[in-house]
Amino acid sequence: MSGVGEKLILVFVVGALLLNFPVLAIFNRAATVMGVPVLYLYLFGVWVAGIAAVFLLARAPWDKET
Amino acid sequence: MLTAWGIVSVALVYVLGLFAIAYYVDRRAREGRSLIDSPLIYSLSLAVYCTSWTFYGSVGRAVASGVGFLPIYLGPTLMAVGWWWVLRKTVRIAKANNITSIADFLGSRYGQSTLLGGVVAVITVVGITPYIALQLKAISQTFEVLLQYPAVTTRLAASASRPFYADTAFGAAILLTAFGIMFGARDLDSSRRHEGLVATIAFESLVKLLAFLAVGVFVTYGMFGGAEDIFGRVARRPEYARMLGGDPSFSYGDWAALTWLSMMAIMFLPRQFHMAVIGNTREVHIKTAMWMFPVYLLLINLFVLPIAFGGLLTFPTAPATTADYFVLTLPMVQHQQGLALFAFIGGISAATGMVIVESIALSTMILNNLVVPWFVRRGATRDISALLINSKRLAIAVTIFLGYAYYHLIGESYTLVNIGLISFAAVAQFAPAFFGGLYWRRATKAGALAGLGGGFLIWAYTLLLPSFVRSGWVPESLVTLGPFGIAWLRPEQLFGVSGLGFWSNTVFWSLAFNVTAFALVSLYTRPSALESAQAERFVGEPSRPAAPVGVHGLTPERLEELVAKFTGREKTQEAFQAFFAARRIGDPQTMTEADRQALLQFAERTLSGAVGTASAQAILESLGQGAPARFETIFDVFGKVSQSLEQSREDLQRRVRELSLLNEATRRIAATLDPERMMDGVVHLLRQEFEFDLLAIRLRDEDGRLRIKSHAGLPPDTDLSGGDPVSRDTYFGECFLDNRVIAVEDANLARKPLVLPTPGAPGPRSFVHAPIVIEERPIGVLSAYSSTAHVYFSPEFLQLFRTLAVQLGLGIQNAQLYRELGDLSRELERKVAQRTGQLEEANRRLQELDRLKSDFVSTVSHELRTPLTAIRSLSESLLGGDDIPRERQAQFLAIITQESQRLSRMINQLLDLSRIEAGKMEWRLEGLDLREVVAQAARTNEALFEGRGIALSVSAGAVPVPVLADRDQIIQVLTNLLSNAAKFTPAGGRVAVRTLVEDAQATVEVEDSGVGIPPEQVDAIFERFRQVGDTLTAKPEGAGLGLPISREIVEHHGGTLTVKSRLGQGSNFRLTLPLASSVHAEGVD
Repeated sequence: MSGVGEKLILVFVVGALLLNFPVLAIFNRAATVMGVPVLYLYLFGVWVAGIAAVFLLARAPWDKET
Repeated sequence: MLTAWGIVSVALVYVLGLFAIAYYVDRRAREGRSLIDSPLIYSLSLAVYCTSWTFYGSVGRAVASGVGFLPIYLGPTLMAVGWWWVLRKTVRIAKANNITSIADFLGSRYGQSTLLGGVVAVITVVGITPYIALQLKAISQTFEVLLQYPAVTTRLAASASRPFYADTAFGAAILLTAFGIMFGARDLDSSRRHEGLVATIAFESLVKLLAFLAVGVFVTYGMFGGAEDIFGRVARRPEYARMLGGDPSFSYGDWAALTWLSMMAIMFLPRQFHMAVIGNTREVHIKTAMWMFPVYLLLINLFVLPIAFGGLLTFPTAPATTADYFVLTLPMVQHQQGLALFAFIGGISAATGMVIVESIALSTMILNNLVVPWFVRRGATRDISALLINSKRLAIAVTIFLGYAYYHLIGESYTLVNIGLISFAAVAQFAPAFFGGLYWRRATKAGALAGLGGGFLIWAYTLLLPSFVRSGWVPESLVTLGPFGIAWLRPEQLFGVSGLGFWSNTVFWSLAFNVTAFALVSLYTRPSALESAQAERFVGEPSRPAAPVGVHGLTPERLEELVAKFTGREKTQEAFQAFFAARRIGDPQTMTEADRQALLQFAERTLSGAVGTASAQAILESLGQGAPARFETIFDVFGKVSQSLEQSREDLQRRVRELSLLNEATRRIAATLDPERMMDGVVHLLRQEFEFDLLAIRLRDEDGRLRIKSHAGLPPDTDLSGGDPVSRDTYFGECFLDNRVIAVEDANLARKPLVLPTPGAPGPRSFVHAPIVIEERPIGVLSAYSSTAHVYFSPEFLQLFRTLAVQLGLGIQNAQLYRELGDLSRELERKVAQRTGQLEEANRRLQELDRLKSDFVSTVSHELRTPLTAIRSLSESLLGGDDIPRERQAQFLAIITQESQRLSRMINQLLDLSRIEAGKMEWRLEGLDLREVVAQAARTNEALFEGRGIALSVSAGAVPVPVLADRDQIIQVLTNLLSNAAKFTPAGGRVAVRTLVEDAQATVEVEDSGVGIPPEQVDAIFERFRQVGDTLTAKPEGAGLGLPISREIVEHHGGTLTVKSRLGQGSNFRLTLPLASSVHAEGVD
């Protein structure tokens, strides 16, 4: 076990937390940064970060056992 | 350009292009050169998720609720993170079991149940119909919108009110049916990938992404000044500002519900299951898809908000439903005909891809889980393969036209997104049964049925029913007041709870009922034996295929006939012949038990591919006369492992047995350092433990042949000295050369001759070879033979056998190292002793030399002092007394002179000696006639002999005796010899000097008739300062250096100086020198 599977579960859990109430409510406000609403920036930012994390982790080889 | 015919022809050309791609890829696949075996294609094919609903509907939903469209894509991104566990396991199971659909998967998991498979199929068909309707609606309406160019409509014509032949949705349905049949239903084997289809879908995914990005870039940067500009303008309009964030009506419940629904949809939508699981060429592609697919989703959503707001700003008065078509209408209003057409093609790609894959997946389910079980129950009596394939084609048409009907019913009343979500919620009902099936052994068929049923009813009541209400089919009071006026049964506020959002209402209640019923019923029902077996295969590692159904008295012909009924005669014949050829079975009547097993499994697999696993099982069972039974005649060396509840216990026992065996073997290996005893211990243990008939260990000898070094089971007097060459002609040779385990379960099928040391003995029926290795290098082979039974070598056994061989290699290596170490230390001891002897010898010689040196110094001092003393005393007498008579004085002076001469001669000799020894002597070599030299020396010393009265005779031959030598030195040697002879020969004696050539050597003999030398002192006379015996004179004349110096000189010339002597009779000194060939040539006489 390289632990990649476990790390991916952590990514999943953290992603699910960041993309739901109540964390989401922090950013759900009428404000903009450089002309772009904070909510949009936040959601797309979390999205990109999640993909990047999976990209980095999934380079590990498959384990033999599931 | 944007006329009806223009649009239709572009669309048709595009679709024909898709046909061409599919055709080309399929042809390449038949040639064995797959084009779709790539993680990129796999990820793109998964993007069939993005339908026209994404392409048009995301914008519509963004207009309605800002970021509310995003959960549909965030959910799959989250789910993709879990694919590492879930999808990989699903793909493995599906491949091992020839799974054809999600219905097949669930049916197979819960005891190969046709009932459960059928229920899943029905739920899916009902649940997906709205989704297909949605695609038809999108194609139809976008066509209508495009057709109105240059006008940009904000009000859609009701196309459904036209006669069907003029209805674009109808035309699209026909076209899609044709496409689906061509790619999905050419033959029955649905477990196989349809490569052309996959490639087409991947291509369409690319087109729709590019089209959407093109429109997005155009709107954002062509029509407006970038995203900030759009957001800025929207923010200035108070009626839209809430969409930018902080919307008080934002429902976090719906947000979470939609995320959950889309997470499930990416797994369970029939088309997703088809693409992700059935369409998977390699497991490892999942790793790439885990991030590449979310990247696709991100890209296709990047411009949704800019387009949505761009549309709102451009068409401020448009009704909400037309927001779905902003992607199309924005380019149109800017008169970008090409871009609008591109967007339309993108939409077509999204819609057609979905409908085709979905209809194929659904038709497979309908066929395998509804149609075939019906046929099987009725008993298939004739060839129904043609009927089956036509049923499948019909099923494709039926699913698409069901969608068309739904579209007509309620198509206009919903936005695209809402229709799609109804389908999402339906397939999400599979989640508990699916995940429970993957990870919970205790889950039962009854539990799965209860959960699915409960969840589906809630779904139908809370989502499907209201959609009928909205279309006017069902009275509205049902939704607003509840059935029969019972308020707490209102579908959209179930149990009177109004706090949940529209979607979270359905998701929460259906999931709650589903999970509870599933878990509760599972816990209170007992699984059947088959269910337990299947549970083990799904929850455990899906490696070993299940034993096939036992069908007694089944001949290959009957089996072939049976399979042909379902898959067609020609194809079946071909497949069976290929099977026989692959197993090298010439006559099917004489098959071994192993072959029969394999044939049964093959038949089951073939049937599974065509009609699903549950049906295949049922069909084979229908053939058996008695009660269907799973049987296990395969002889597992670890004992019979039943595929039932006992399995895990059996597994455990087997592991314990393996480990204790390994432990015992290791103990025996470690117990001794004698390789023979070690090997004997292991082979006897293995024979006793596994009841093999013969165990043998072959090791490679120095001559390169493999010889049996140890065995258990051969007669004791067997001649094993012959050995076999290492070559690929034998299985053990191949095992040795390739360094891998080779097992042959049926020796009748062996491709190589079997080499056994006892030719007369019965041949083995099964055998296995494992290489014995030392540091990855094979040194021999461990073999086990069974000649009484066919053995099924389980992977666990092979693993154990290999481990044993490795252990053996380690043991042999240890023994070898130990033996080498012993040899080495003995060798070392011998060398130390030898060297010690040498050192002792050297030391002794050094001491001797040291003694000699001391002797030398004292002798020299003594010898020098004797003449000095004489000189001094005589000189003192001369000085002291004038009274010494004159003649006495003269006498004294004569002695002094004589002693001084003796002194200087001695010193000269010493100097000569040291010069010779140090190699500093100067030699003047010249060609000489030895006779002449001898004569000269004799003349010089003549007086000496005369004075003593000794007769000297010199004789020589007539021919010259040429030598290459230093004249003075040779004369000195001769003088020395002559003076010695004179010294030791009494008066009246004689001395003879002869010069001759003997044995090709120039030789001079000096023979005297003197006192001779005692034999024990013959060698000593050549040592320094050895004056042998008493001289005849009162005191020795020399320092005893003459002979040693002479010998040095002669040896320097390459000659020898030896002496023979008999005491009292005289001595014979013999000097030899090498003959020079050309004394004359050098001009010397």
